[in-house]
Amino acid sequence: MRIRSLQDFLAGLIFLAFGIVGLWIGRGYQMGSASHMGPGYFPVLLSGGLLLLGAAVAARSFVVEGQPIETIGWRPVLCIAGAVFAFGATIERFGLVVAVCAVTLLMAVATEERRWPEVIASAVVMSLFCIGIFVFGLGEPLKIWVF
Amino acid sequence: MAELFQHLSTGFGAALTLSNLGFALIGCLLGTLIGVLPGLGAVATVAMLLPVTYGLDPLSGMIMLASIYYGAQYGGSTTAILVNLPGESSSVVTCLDGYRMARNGRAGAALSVAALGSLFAGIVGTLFIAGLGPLLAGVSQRFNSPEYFALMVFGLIGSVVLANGSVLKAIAMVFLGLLVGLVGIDVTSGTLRYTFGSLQLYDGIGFVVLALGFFGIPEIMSNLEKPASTRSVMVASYDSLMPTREEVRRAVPASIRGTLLGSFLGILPGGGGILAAFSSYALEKRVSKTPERFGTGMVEGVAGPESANNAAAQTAFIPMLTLGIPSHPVMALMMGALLVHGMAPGSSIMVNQPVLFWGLVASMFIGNLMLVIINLPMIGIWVQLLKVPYRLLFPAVLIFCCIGIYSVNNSAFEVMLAAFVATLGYVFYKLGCEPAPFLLAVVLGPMMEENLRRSMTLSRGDPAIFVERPICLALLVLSALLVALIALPSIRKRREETFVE
Repeated sequence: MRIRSLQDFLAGLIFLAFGIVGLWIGRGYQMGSASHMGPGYFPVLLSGGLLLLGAAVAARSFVVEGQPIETIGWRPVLCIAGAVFAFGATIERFGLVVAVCAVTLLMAVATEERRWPEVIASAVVMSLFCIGIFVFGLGEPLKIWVF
Repeated sequence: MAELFQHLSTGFGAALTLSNLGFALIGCLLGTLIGVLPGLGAVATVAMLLPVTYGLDPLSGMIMLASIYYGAQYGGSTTAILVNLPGESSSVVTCLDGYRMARNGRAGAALSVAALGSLFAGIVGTLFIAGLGPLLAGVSQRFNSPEYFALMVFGLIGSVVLANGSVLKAIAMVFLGLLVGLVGIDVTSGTLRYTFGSLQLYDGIGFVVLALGFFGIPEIMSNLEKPASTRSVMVASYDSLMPTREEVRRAVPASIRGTLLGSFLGILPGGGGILAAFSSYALEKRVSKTPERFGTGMVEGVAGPESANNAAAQTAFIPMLTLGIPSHPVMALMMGALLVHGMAPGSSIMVNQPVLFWGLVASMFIGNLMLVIINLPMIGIWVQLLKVPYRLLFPAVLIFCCIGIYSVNNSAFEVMLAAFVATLGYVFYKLGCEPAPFLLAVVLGPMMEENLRRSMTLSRGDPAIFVERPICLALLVLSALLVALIALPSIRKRREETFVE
């Protein structure tokens, strides 16, 4: 027994995990009957299907050769996810300028080709641009500054 | 026929106001601006700009959204031709000969041919909508819950077949999408499902969050992890936009063939944009007297697929507008926008909202024309934009994504949620799981449950209802055939070849 396709193996595990979580949480919902479906009927049906499909995908990974997983760039992935999260965490409390600067900064950390003067300049330009376009141009109710 | 012209004149009457033309113009510009950025396709662009249209009245909003869509598509082709970076999978084909033409110094001609071919295809596609729409809407009035359920099965299977990569994984993505679509309050019983006790999940996970989390942000992630040297963009230079007489002579028939092919394939569930582009390229290669010269900058290889792609993008509106079933993630976003404006797409929209429907059809003509008029002279500007280094562009793109997500509901929670969804989207991308079937399933999830529930109540719990009704049976048989078709070894092999090419 040897995993021939790591892609399929991991994908299968993820589907299985979602199926199990779906069933586990879904067990609390009323099932009802086929003619009177409760809120639990369709989710349990889907979770069960997901479980089967996940098992099939994972099982196939032992039989069929697959493509290797391309290298994963942890740094850009974590930085970008972090930047999006930071934007959400700051936009309401500290306003647009802080949020934009947070994203620009984290993005600079994401690449090796950063040049700090450029980063600062782009943070300033992007802040002004976003205020101009989104707040004044499109009239979106975004808080601009900390206060 | 006379009726059609009357409808169209109603539409043009509504759409041809100065402010609507303005919105179409802004939409085309914004769409092209974002779409031209490498790696950002139509789905991400439309999702990002969706909230911008919420403040407008329904018709203006839809006109602007449709224009953004055309602009994004056109922007993707521009990038494909000039820098060999397809914005989305359907413009991969354009790279093959378009970029070679650019390298041969014919970039201007390639861009003009692509634009004019798209315009022609857009107009023919719109005529298809105007002609076929009422017909299909008539048919769909005889549809009941079981038929709708079967239609959705058919649509989802279609999206699985058109996805590249493993069919099994694509089906699993459909199941996952349906399940994710159920998050939130169940309308029938009032039960909260999969909300993890969070108030913000009562209405489910926002579609823009999912669209950008699966299409936009992972794209930026995977672009950034490649070494900087492979990203440095070589923008081809161009001189004249005029194609030579010889090029026109070869492009016109290719464009017509592509348009017809694309118009038919676009109606298919799953949205045939990619399939249309690939099939058209294959067709041009087959009818050509010099098939061996494809890949060296043949103008047919640009005109055909570009027209096919655009015609398909146009006719993809048909199932969404007449049946209320989106066949493509962009159509799902459009449908979301219609719902925000309080309109449920489906067979009734033509009867109850004729001005909106025909206004939208008219605006498709306007949008397509606008695109050519403003973009051909502005190509120079887009080229300059492509020369901006990626390290400066991507923070801007990411900020637009964030603001786009935030402004849908003014919800900071959704932005933070998007960070997790994007990470998951990236993982799926790396594991070769297709996002498009997933996104369609999310939209269709609640509708499928509702129709399944009603059908089963109708039949008192007997699943035989799905095979006793002729339309329903036909749709299910078609779905089964589709699955069987791709399971056949010979077809599977050809499908793989098509996608690899």
